[in-house]
Amino acid sequence: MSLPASSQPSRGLAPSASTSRFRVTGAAALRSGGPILFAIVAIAIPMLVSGYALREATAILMFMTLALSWNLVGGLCGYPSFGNVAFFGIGAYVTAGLVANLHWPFFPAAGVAALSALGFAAVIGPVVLRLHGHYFAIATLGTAQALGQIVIMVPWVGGPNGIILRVPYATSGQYFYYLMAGALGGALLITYAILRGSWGYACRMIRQDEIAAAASGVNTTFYKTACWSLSAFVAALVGGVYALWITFVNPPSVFDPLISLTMVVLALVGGAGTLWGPVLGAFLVENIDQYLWARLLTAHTLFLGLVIVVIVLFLPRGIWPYLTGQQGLAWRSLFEGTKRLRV
Amino acid sequence: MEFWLQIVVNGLLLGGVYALSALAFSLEWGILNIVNLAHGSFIMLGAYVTWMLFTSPLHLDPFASVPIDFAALAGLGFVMQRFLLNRVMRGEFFLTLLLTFGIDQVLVNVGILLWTADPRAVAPSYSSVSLAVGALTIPYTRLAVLIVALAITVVLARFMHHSRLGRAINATGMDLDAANLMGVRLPFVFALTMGLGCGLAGIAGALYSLNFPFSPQIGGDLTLRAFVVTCLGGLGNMYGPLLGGLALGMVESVATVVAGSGAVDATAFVILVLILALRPRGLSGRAAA
Amino acid sequence: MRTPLGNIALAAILVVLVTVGLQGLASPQSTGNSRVIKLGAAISNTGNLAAEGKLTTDGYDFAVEWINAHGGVKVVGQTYTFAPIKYYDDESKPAQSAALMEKLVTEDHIGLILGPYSSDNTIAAAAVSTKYGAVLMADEGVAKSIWTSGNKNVVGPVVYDYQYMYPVVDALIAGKTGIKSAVMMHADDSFSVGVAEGAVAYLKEKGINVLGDFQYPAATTDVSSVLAQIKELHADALLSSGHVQDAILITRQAKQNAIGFKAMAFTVAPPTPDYVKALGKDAEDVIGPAPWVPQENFSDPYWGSTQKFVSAFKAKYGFVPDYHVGNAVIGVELFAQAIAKADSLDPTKVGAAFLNVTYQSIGGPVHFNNNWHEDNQHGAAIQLQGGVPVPVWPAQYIKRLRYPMPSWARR
Repeated sequence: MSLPASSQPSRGLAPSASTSRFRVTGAAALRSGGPILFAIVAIAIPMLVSGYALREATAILMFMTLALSWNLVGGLCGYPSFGNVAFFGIGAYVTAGLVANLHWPFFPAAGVAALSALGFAAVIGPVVLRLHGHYFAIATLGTAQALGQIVIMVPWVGGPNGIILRVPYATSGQYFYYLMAGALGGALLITYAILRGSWGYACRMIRQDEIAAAASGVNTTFYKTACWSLSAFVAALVGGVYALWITFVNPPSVFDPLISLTMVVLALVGGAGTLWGPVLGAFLVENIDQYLWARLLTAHTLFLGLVIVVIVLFLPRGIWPYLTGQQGLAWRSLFEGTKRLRV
Repeated sequence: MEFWLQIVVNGLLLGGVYALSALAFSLEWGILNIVNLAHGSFIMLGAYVTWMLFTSPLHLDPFASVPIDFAALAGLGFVMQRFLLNRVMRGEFFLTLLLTFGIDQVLVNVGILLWTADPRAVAPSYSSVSLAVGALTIPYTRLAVLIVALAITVVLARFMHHSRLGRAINATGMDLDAANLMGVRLPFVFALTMGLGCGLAGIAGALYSLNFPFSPQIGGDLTLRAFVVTCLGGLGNMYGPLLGGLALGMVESVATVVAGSGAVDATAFVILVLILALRPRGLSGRAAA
Repeated sequence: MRTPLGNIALAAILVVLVTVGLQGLASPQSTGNSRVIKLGAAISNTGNLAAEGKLTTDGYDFAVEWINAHGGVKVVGQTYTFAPIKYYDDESKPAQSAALMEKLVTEDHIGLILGPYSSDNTIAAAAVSTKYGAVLMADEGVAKSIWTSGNKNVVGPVVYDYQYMYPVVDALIAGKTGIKSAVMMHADDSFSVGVAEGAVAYLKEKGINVLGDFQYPAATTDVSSVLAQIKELHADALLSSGHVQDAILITRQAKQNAIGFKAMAFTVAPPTPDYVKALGKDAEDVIGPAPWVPQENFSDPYWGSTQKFVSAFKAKYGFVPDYHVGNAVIGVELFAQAIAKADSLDPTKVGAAFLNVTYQSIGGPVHFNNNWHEDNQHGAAIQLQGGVPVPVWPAQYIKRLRYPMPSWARR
């Protein structure tokens, strides 16, 4: 029985047969030069800008890291989680709770927060990861929603009022930028380590065909849960930095389902399953979003939606595979696809 | 005792609302394998169409606007599928999710631009009247939703199994390539199915406007509920949404009393996750892919 | 095919990306007229508080236009006018609220800012404005924590959230209604919770039996089961704190389920046009608190009197201003007076001009204590009569209170 491709694990990263105008030179240059350029620019930014621009740059770094965290479970393993904001929220709340109520210093608090999210993910992972496709999506979405509701009822973390953090030490914009950059660096390292090794290989097998992977002896439960837990770890780290940065956490802001959706969109637009795809996707989409927000008071989400629609139609694998030569512009192959349907 | 009876009745009536809004979603997911994140916004559009007709000089009764809602939104859905979604039908399922998400953003924003974010309501003279059965009160408009949900479920089931077009639609849901080989014109059937789904969403919107205040942003919640109901009820069976909807309505109604209103969402989702973990098919569906 | 076209295309894309990325750095500097006061404002255009946001912007724009046309503001002997207000949408999210605060201060160089609509957004915004020494006019965000968290220069001309319902309770008692029991319902956002906590404590203090306090999710679409539980309690009055959409829902479902009360009160909704439009006769006799009512008649330095303001606003916008508009206007005129008093546009000096001082406004005299917050406001209560909000509190209006509400069937 052949269901449409959509309900099976995706086809993986095999290059398509369609025409590709990019040759090895362009792609290789991008692969080696790109990251170095990126690192240089990223480190230099706080010395060049300040105030609002620095804040926006920090926000972009945050979304890059979040997109990478989703990528670990959604892009690499092909499990579309729609509830990763749960981990972000756990990270934000645990950090805020420890710093504001128990007066812990930031780094231990954030560390504990990230580990608690990892633990939470490891515990619910085996249950939730038994589901696939849309069912997994709704289960994760539901878990995040439920968590957001439950937090409202816990007085120790402020209930519906949330927690306000009074930060005793320097609150300069540069400090938060580098914190966020550190989280991004960590996420990139984790993703890189996984992609390079046999771990990444196992995940790709799971993404392409989980039954075959299991049949080949891959411990799918372990690898899935591990990716899922690492995804939680990274998202919670970001949540911790967010809490300190914005100094205010409350249920609607840190358990907002739109954050989950944003993570998914950014990673897919950039190129799920790759190292730099989510980074690029976050950079592009968030820049456009911020640009539109400042200039179009009433219609910025409209244009964001249109941008997403256009990218899905023209670059369905994301931007990174296109830039690195694995995928041509999709319009022609889309037409071919439609023609095939007419047979 | 009458209190609990009222709670049960409330649950069934609420379930009717959920079932009606999930019918279309289930159709789109089951046949087209499209999780339509813009579904709630189509319901919202239906509500606004009814509202516009009601507040226009025509003062069209909401029930009379149902066919107009159906036609308008079916047309919109048909066009959307034909020109946008058909292009990604063969791709990864992520793509349809992304695409419908983008469409949803556009629809919500267009709604805010056209009608502002003020809450609206459609309140004809009979909208707050209830049927009194002993100590129970059953609001007429909520009862209407339940009856319409039942009626549409039955009609849809008959259509899908006994009409040629319905069977073509069913066939594409079962096996794309086989249906193609049997001569079903897939792009047309896809568009038709989506049109049908959006038309049903329009009907749901018309009835929703009668019962609840609405604004352009109600879509997200509605889509989520439809998602939960469809998972609960299971795919592939026309009675799934009805069962899932009634079940969810009952759970929420009882949970409100037992655990407090704030725990309702959490309870509903915990139950959903448990059901999915233990019986992934849902209450009545076919085996999950 | 080895074409340079591909590489050029790649380079072009990278250039576009970088240019787009650098947009944040290039801030459009508007030099313009030097005798201009720049105000910024955070509003909610999208998100779930958007409806109230529109009323607020109407108030801001009207006030700015009027003051400009009627003498402007005198600073160091010169006449200054307000520039058009720079608005940003906070999308009802605290992070966005903080970001726009930073943008206003660091890029648009605006240090006098009219506050976000909700308390949550104001909390996040206040942290940023304090850091830069900007003055935040928190005319729509009322949680006490905003003023107890070490923030500076956050001006609060409106009562705290926990005091919001006091006028309603005062009216019900002073109106000699004989009311003995009440039940509370509230949404689970921080504003509604704060109002409810204060209301319950105040009710008990005044000797009214509080039979229950029910919390519901803010975006709920069904409260019939909560109402069924409330029905069992047979309370005299229902008090509810939430926003417009849930007020409409609760009123409707109370009628549908034949649950009657001798008095019903909601926050936010009753004075707004949407509530009456949605419910028609079912909204009759519903009570609500309002920090400001258009029936008052205080003397005012810019309009002459509250009534003249009301007629001028109605002439331009076509509807009688509600308290959202009123608060917004008060915010602007307070800024104008503080700037004149400080005789400077420097935010530090303007902020200092809000300490231990009284200003006149269309809502009467507002006295600020040494934490930038008012300490002489009490708010008013209105009742919908004939579809129009009629003041029933402060005490001079108490005779207009209609009690009890007729049953649903007799409307």
